[in-house]
Amino acid sequence: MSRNVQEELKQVIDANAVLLFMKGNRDMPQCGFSARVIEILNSCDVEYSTVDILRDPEVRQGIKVFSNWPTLPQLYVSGEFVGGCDIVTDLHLSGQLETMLSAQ
Amino acid sequence: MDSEVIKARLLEAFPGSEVILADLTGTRDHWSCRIVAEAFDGLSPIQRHQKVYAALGDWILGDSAPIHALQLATYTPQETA
Repeated sequence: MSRNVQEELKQVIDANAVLLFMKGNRDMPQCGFSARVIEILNSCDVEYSTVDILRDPEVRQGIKVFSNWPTLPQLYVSGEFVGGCDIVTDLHLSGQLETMLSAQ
Repeated sequence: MDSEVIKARLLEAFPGSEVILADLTGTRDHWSCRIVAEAFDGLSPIQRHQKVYAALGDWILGDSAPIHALQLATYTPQETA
């Protein structure tokens, strides 16, 4: 049976209130942009999950289609795509990210 | 990929805009980009970035794309006034 990556992505996004698609994991981010978002999430005192897209080429391509967004990392909160590193950083600096996360 | 080539495509997609590119790593594949364009008026940050990504198309999509990373700052002329 062929794999339905888009359906897999929908399920993992629905199952995790705060979910970061990233390169590497929270202990060893493999890219500076992923590392910055991890730093921000850690400072927010919130529980979050991560998906290491380097471990799965199909997920790596699939999430770009799913979000209509060509780069990683990508943050989802409550099933909604929030943005990549630049947008997450801006939301953090303006305090909006904390508001979104505290609703979790 | 040369910054002038990227800039030309962005100016084509956003006529009359201001585009400033900086090579973050000296390797011409990690860029920082500031764009001031009327076309961003009324759009959320996500929608603005998606417009830029759409303009760059294959240049940023896929693992072999010439642009690996793009730091984006998007403004309308009113926001920078």
